[in-house]
Amino acid sequence: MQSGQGSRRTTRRGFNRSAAVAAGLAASFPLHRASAIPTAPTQAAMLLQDSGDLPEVYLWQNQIALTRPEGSNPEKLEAVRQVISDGSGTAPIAYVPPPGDAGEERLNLTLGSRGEELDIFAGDWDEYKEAVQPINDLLDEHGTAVREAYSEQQWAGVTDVEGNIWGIPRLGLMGHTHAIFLRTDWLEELQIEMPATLEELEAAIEAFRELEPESSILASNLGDLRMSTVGGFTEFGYSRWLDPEDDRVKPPELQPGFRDWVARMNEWYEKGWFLPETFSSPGTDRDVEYFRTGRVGTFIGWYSRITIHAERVLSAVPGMWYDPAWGITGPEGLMKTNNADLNAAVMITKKSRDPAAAMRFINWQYEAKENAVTAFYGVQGVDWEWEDDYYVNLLTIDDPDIYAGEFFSAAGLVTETWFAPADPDRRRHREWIRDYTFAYDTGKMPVDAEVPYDRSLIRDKVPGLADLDRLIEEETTKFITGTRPLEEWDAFLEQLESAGLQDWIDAYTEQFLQYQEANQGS
Amino acid sequence: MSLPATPRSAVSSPLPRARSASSPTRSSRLVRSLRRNYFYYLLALPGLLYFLVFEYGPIVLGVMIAFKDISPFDGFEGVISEPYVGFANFQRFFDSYYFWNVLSNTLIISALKLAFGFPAPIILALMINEVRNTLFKRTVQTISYMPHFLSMVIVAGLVMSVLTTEGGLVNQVVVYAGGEPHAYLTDPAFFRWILVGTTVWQTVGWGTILYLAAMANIDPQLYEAAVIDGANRWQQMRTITLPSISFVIILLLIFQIGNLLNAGFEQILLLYSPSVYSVSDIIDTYVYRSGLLEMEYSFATAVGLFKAVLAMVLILIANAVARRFGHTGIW
Repeated sequence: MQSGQGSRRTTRRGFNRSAAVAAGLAASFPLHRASAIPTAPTQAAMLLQDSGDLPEVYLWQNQIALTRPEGSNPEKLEAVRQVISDGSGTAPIAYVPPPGDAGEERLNLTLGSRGEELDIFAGDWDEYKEAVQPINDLLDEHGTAVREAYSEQQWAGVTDVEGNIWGIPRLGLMGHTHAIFLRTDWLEELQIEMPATLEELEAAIEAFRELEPESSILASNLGDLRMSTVGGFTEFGYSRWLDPEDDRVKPPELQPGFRDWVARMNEWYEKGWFLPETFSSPGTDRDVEYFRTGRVGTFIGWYSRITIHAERVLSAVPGMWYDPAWGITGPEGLMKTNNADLNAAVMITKKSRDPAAAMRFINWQYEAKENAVTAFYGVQGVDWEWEDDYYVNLLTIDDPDIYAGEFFSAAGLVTETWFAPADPDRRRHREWIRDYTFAYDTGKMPVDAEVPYDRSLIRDKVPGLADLDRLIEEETTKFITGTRPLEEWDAFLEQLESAGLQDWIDAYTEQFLQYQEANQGS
Repeated sequence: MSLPATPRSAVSSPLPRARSASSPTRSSRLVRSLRRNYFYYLLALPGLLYFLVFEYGPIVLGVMIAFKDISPFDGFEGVISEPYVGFANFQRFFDSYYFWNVLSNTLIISALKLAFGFPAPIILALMINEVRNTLFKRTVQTISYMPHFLSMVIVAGLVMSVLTTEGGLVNQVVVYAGGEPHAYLTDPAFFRWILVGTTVWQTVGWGTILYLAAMANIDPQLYEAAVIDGANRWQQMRTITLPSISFVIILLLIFQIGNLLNAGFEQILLLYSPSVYSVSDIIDTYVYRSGLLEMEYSFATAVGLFKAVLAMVLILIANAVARRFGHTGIW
């Protein structure tokens, strides 16, 4: 008996049968691999009618959170597409990305893929410069409504030193993102006015703890805590600043007064005012759960915890309500720093087959409020109707088969002030944006508010950038929680030097001066 | 009077044969084998091609990426056409301010998980093996397997819920015992132990499967003979059970040593925070932040390659040590 064969004889039929099975298995492997990669357009989009002669515009929907995460009902999607096609002369097709980091990964794969179409997506223009095209000419020829919608200051945020406009401003300078919120019902019960100074704030917190001994301060994360409070201790707030001694741009941590802020936060922590998990893994769900305990007397951080999640947050405890302490000041003035996120943009890809059509598609949404609302909520008269010139009645909000918003491509601070849902639970977020986005007098202006740094260039020049970020985050947290004594603050500054602080200073100063020089004439 | 020396040929291996012109060479034996078993080789060919194209091919591409500076948007052409930058990506990692911190964290956390997590399923398997009541044995096994099926996201959520100062079970017990609530997840003194404890809890049940299967193959006559010789259950475990499963233990230990640089990326990413970076930031989380999130794929690939080479060296050493002491190695 020969090993490996037993007593069976190999027949031609047997071989052919085995080969067929093997070929089938082999053919299934690439299919299996392909099916593991999420498919691009939504299921609903695959059922869209033929575009005819209209140019197709492929849009990656990462500008807004869809009202229906899995995408629209196919018929609703087609109905909205028809309206947009009739108005803009284009046939949009939207990708619904997977949530979280998987979505970003998929976007990058799509951008790098030769086979997949993509015309429009949102992101930071400095990160995606190699994948997108300047839109100066496109704006002039096909995007006049887009051009007029934003101020020169907002356009400056998406323009490089050579004058190339890399995208449509998505955010820009914002006055509404950070605040110190206090329990309004507790203030009323204690007959305390909304604090206007740091001392009044501390007195209110003490009073809260007498009313509810386990009440605490919840901060959404360290970054938001800094944006909301550092301004009260430093001249420039939590901002890069120009040191007058050597005319170089330096990180906020080197400002005079920053150490005093750390000391005050440490004092609050040692008193037990902070929720101990404030500096652990942050997240919206975690914050919402803490709110629902009814023991958060003060919330310092990102506004949408209160606005978007108002229903989840405030419904847990009857009468619970939070209001912001706008314009609250510390020893060095306004505590809040306005938020400059200049690089966020809606961009047109380099590989777009018809960038003019892509711009016309976007421009249509800026031409009239109704167009933007249609792209966001669906067909007027069927899915929504105006209550007045701002509030929108959502006619199908409780309908499970709705249009989810895939085609909306006008996300920006401007359009977000155009309309709001009339529903009391949903309107608070939009009203907040409308009322406070441009309330710059409630916070300190960042020194380099109009300088859109190209962070990809900075990363090339500062190899230790991630190390510096970690060092600052980690050590600041340790100083606040008392794990590291404040006496070691100078040693911390020396650590920053060892980690490459001078490279950081050189890189940021170079770009700052370049922008100053480029804009001197304007 | 000493016995005459026994000729080698009578007891030991046959005398080496002189090669003749008609003896088959290695290559001719291979050709003959191929001809005889050709359709088995053809059956295996699609699978081999799959591994070559989809597993080994990307490895080659990955190695190339580590020595270049590619953009994520250049696609395959960028991988081929971009110029080489030598060891720049590796140098960047070695020069990192936190290089020794992340490397030591990786090794320490892995060593702790190995020290506590490796013996745990062995001990549990030995204990389960001693249980006579079949129903109880099956129940214990089923319950102990369950955590294995939970995703790390759920496990992390459970850990946070149990350890939170706002009504978490652990802090409630501490307060009941007269202590003060403590934020364990943000305390560097506790964080590594939380990682180790969570890992042991999640893997101990599933890890018993191989050991129990090996124990099931032990000849019962060995135990009967031991009982006759007067051995108690502890002695039977020590002299029969453990030696019988030692080959499984050694093999799995070699694999675990090769895995020493994988300290649990997902678990740490979900649980860590700036307060505990100093004791929990590992190579994978470092690369995630400074490589992948910043789209620095060449840098991330270089660090991954460094890890793979180091893991290979560890496996080779462990395998050699195992064979040196007379145990079965991987090869």
